[in-house]
This record gives sequence, C-alpha cells and structure tokens, in this order.
Amino acid sequence: MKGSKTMMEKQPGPVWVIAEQIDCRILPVSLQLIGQARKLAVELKASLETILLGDQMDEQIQQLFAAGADCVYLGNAPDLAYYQPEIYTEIIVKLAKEHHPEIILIGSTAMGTELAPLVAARLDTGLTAHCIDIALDDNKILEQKIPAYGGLMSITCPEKRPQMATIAAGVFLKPELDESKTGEIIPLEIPDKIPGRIQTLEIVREETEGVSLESAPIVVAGGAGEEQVVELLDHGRGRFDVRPVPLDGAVLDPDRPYA
Amino acid sequence: MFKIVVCVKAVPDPKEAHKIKIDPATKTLTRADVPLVLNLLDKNAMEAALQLKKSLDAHITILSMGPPPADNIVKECLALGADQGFLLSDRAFGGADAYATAYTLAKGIEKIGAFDLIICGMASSDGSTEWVGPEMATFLKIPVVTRVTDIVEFGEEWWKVKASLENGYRLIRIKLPAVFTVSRELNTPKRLSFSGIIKARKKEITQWGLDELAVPEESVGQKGSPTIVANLANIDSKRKVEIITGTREEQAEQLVQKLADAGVI
Repeated sequence: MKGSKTMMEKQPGPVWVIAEQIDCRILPVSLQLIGQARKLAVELKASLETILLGDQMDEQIQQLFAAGADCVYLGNAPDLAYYQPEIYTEIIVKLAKEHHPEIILIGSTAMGTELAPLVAARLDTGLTAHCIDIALDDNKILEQKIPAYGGLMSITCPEKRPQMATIAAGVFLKPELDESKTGEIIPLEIPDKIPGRIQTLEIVREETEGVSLESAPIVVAGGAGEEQVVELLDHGRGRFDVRPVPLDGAVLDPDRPYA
Repeated sequence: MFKIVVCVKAVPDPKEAHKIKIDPATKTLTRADVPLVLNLLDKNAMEAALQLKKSLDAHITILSMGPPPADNIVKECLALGADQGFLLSDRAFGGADAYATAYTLAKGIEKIGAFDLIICGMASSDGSTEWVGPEMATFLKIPVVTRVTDIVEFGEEWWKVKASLENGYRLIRIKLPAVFTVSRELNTPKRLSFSGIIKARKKEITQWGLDELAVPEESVGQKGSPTIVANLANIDSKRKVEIITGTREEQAEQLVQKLADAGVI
C-alpha cells in the first residue's frame, strides 16, 4: 500500500452546473455545459452535480442524468418558477458553502449573467465571462479562455474556490444522451430568511419565427454587404436576423422585410 | 433629496481599439496611445440619472476608478449635468479584476455617504463582463437589476422596471436603495452642451486613494483580484480568402455550391 506517502492528495470537490429552465423546459446550454463538465469531472475524479430551480420540474430531471449528471439538487416550488435573484442566490450560496464545489459553470444567458456574479461575490471568488473554451492545466487548475484583442487570454482563479465561469450557448456541443443513466435527486428547501427586496413579477416572451440564432446549426454572418447574405438565403432556406451593432457602428433596419 | 450615484469607466476609445495588440514576447497588451473615453453604455446610465432628475429632486454623483487621466470622463459627466464627481485613483488599484473593482467602488460609495440609487452601464466596452454592477450590489448588501430597458414606475420606495431577456423581458418590482445596470435600449444619451461645459468648471472632482478609502492593500487592485491572466497568446488563424465574382445571383449560387461542397449545408 502507499503508506509511505506523507501527504494525502486532497480530493477536489464536485463540478457543478447551474441548469436553467424556461417554462419548465431545460435550456440546451445547460445540457451542453453538463457534457463539457463531465470531461472535467472525469479528469478530476470528482462527481458532476447539477442544480435545477423551477416549478413542476420532475419530468425534466431525466435529461440532466442522460446528459451526464451524477446528481441533481432540485428546488421545485411555485416561488422558483421564475428566476428570482434573491432566492436563487441564497439557495446556491448555501449549498456551495456546504459542499465546496471545485468548479461552477453557468450559461451566459440573461439569467446566468446576473446570477453568476451574485453567487461569486457572496462566495468571495473569481468569475470569468463568456469563455470560448475551458480545460484543466497540468496542475488541474481550470484554464478559462476568452477572446481578447485578436488573441486568446487564459484566465485562472488559482487560489479561491470555486472556480466559476459563464459560457454561451453553442460553445460546446450537446452531449449524446444516455437515457438509461439515472442518478440521485436531492430535494432542496426554500430558505425562509429572504430579504424580499426584489421580485420578478412576470416574464414576457416575444415569439420569434423560425429557428433562433442560438439553436441554428449554421450561422452565416454578413456585415455591411448584407444584401448578398439575403440573396444567399433566397437560394437556400433560412431566417434573416438583424442584430444591432453593439458599439457605435451602423445599425441595420430591423423592420425591413427580408426573405 | 433623491441621491443618485452613477458609476462610469474610462475605456480605450473603441474606434482605436484595433491599435491594442498582444506582445507575443511579454504576453502583455501594448496600448499604443489609445485615448481613454467615457464607456458608451455609461452615457445611457448618465442619461437615466438626468431624466430622473427632471421628475425627482435629485442630486447626481459621479464615481469612477482609474488612472489620473480618467478625471476627463468625470468632467464630461459633470458637463452633462452631474453635481459632483469622485475619482478613485491609486497605483494599488491597478490590475483589478471585476471583483476587486466592484469592492473598491463599493468602498467609495460607502465613503460618499447615503444614496438611493446607483446606476451603471451594463458592461464596459473593454472588459464586457457585466459583473461590476451585481458584485458591487452584493458588497453593499442591496438588490440589483441588470440590463434595465425601461423604468416603468418610480418615485416611491418600490419601483418597477423592465430588464431584457432572450426574446423578451422581465418585469421586476424592486425596493430601493438598489443598483441598476442599464442597456442601450433605455434611452438616447444627449450630447454635451456649451453651457454645460461652462457650468462644469465650477464643479469639484475629489480624488481618493488607498489611504482615503482606508482599505487594506491586499483587498484592492491585482492583489485583491481572485482571477489572474495566466496566459495571453495570439491566435494563429490560417484563414483562406477567396473572392467570388459575377452577378449577385451568380455569387450567391457559387457560395451555396461551395458551402455544400464543404459539407456545411
């Protein structure tokens, strides 16, 4: 036996994915992150755990197991149906303080982009935005890669734990689902000491026609010469979508009818 | 008096940001002489404060953290109509990530005193993390709404705002004091006026460093940042360029053919 080893290697904590749902449907980005997190968990010899908050989510949990989660912490209550910043943050922070995750991944959706810094600041740890790749380095530290000035910047959080990152939909592929896989469901209680200073009253979705940009298998992008793209779409099938240029460039007319 | 703090950031001018390059030897950014300007979304934050001032008896304070030349953007906000300005500037604050930035700004706000509402642009053009608003709110122990697109009800203790969401919005009820980070849809910022620039000459900018904030050096700047830049590399993208000629229709047909040949459609 390895009795001569003087220092026991510390077993890393679990890898977590905060799953997100809309109208009881789990978002594709959550499954994509579970797929990638599975690889990290295997390398770390750690378990892969998912937190899912919502209402009437029982039927959806199997997808998380099929994507690769070993266990699901489930908050299932009417008060959790909509993203509620205070309650969601409180639940995740409390759980993280009990279980000491090594890594937490969240989709960089509108919810994830608000929830991730609320959790990170409460846990006094670092957070990297919009990663385009994540991998463990030789010391099993998470390299979080972001594009910067025509290059690639690797961000790490060497000392504080958990290591946290947000990742956009489509960065990682959806994993192959193994429907035979099951796991443990751990029900969560809603904390009773909530300051109650903020409440999401309503979520209004404006239905878009056709395929959403995030779920499109092929995206053809065009800048100022967008007319060629429109003609291209006339020859094939597709949806034309105009996004405002984020800085101060020209903004195309979103009301103009396209093919 | 309704007290508003607007947090602003001096960023490298996006129009000249292409001059910033990665030095492959030192793995640092070479900033050339790119001038610092007021972050674009912070203009929306400033405009939101000015619009609230029209309806409420409000006082607007500008707060920024940055190198000494950043006082230019604080001056710009004073010229736009803010009442007083603070710049947190100290070598010790340098190299801060979003966490350390939010902590330092929160300490600045605590020192400024009582406030009702803090408004920030939802992201900066150079960092674009969107973390500083919510992390600052956490340090100040107050609620936050990010990506605010509309202020629906205001004036009392409870406000109603809309925040953008994928294909829609969230309607939120929030109790002040709070932090709002605003998106560009909220308003159209006004330009500087000559009279504003003249009036701003009489307004003060207070500069505070590590001593004035009375915070330990380990909790600010690079030392107070949980994240570090471990590596910086140029991407060696071997792109192939091919110009397709002909009429629009021919070009489109050729492109479809090429995409089909490549197996993507």
